[in-house]
Amino acid sequence: MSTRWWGKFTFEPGHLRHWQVGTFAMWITRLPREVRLVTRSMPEDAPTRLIPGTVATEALPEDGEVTRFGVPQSGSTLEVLPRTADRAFIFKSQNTFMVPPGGEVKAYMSSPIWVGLQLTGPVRPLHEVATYRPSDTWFGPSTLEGELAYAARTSVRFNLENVPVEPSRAVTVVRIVNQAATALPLARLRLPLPQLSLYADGVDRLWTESVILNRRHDGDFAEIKLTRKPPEEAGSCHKIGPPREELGRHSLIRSFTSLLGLSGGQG
Amino acid sequence: MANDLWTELGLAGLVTREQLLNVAHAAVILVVGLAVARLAGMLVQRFTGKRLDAQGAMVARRLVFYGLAFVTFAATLNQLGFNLSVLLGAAGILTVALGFASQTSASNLISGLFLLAERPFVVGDLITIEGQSGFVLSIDLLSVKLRTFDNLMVRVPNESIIKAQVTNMTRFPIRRVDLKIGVAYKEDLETVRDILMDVADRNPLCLDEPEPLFIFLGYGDSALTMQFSVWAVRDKFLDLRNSMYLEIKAAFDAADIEIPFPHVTLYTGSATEPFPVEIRGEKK
Repeated sequence: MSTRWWGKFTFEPGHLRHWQVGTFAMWITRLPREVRLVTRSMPEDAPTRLIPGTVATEALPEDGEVTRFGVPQSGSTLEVLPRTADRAFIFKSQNTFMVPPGGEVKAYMSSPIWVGLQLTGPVRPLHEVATYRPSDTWFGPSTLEGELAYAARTSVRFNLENVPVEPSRAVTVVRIVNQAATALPLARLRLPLPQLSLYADGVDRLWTESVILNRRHDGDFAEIKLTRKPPEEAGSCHKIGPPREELGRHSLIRSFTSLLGLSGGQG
Repeated sequence: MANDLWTELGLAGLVTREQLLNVAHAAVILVVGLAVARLAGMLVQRFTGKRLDAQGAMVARRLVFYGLAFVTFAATLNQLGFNLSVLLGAAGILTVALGFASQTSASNLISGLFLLAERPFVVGDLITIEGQSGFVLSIDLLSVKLRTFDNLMVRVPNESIIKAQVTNMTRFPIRRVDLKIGVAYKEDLETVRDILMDVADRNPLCLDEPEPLFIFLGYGDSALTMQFSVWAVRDKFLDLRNSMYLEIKAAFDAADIEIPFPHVTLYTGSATEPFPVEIRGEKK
């Protein structure tokens, strides 16, 4: 059975297709001049399943969130595609993790993905929904300035085997290099997911391109670099989604606190 | 021929034709000038609207409009044959006289200029002035117009705003929601705190950071009172407050934690027996 739940799906008139990606369930039916979408998010601790858009015989569920789209009569193909999150994610390490001077570590982070729905030929985006709605959080030096982000439920992992394998999550590998003369405490880490592309490996596990955080000699600034290729841990991959936004030139060098959140909580 | 018509109409003795032409010219200057001023103001607002905020664009529009309107009036008066230097001198005296006569308006005018310079709020902000909350519709020379939540327009004189305490609720990107909660004396506060933290953790609108804050307020008349403070994005303030109260009630019910209401214990002294209670019902 295929584990690929994204791609182009054809709909016969009145047909219903069913997806379940992790704890997120989705039904789509094509009616005359209308596409009807029903989504339902189950609790985080609910059992996860994978149903990759199979034709369903049951009726549309009544307890989900219904969204209707007016579409042209012609065309029976819809594209379902995974997307990275629309805001940055803030990861915490369970305990403060120190990167010694001159050292480097690889951190693995798993983040929920968004599901996009669009018409094909010509491409017209219809809708986007998170497979899991993360909690909001504030990331900045104070309550007066900063940015709205998502709080990651999972902590930063330093071993890939500890990262849960789920169809609704993508893994990002971050290489943290500390060139400064002092140890680097990793308390929080901001992952710029909207600026990352999505890749799928041979078994349809999702990855983003890897990120390099380089704390420079002076200790006050860090460079963030996107490798523009999937991590070597992913093996042979192909790109399935572009980044939502490009990483601006001004983002290449940022204050260290804005990348890693060395400051404590805001009062 | 035209002179004959002029004479026939009986206007020859009243005004000359040149005077009438001057008045017509002045009227044209006035109408066209005001129209141009209005058009220029709108264009400036549209142009600056892309670079400035709503208030900045509004101020720019008014500066352009009033400036051109002043020039139009001056040109109109000049066309009518008035000596502008004399008029401006008279206007100075008139201003002093009007200033004494309309101190309140002058005070509002000056206060309005201070408000524009200080910018404690801008058009579109949600503010509270002397207990009245509303969205700022406009900041004018004499007053600030608010739209209340029940869609009423409230005019607040600038002078009052300068003197009063103004709270701007949309200045900063995030806000704290303070929830006042009471539980029965028999409840374990550690458990209550854990439940509250769990409710906050599960609510996606509740910001993970700044972290929720639990404050024990004291021993109330009927309950242990506490404050639970959580943070929200300012646009989601009401959504979070409502959802938190609903979820806390549900979580307390699920954990058998009592939210008490005021109790009254009747006591007649240590020497007395409890009040006798007799239950009566109608016999069928």
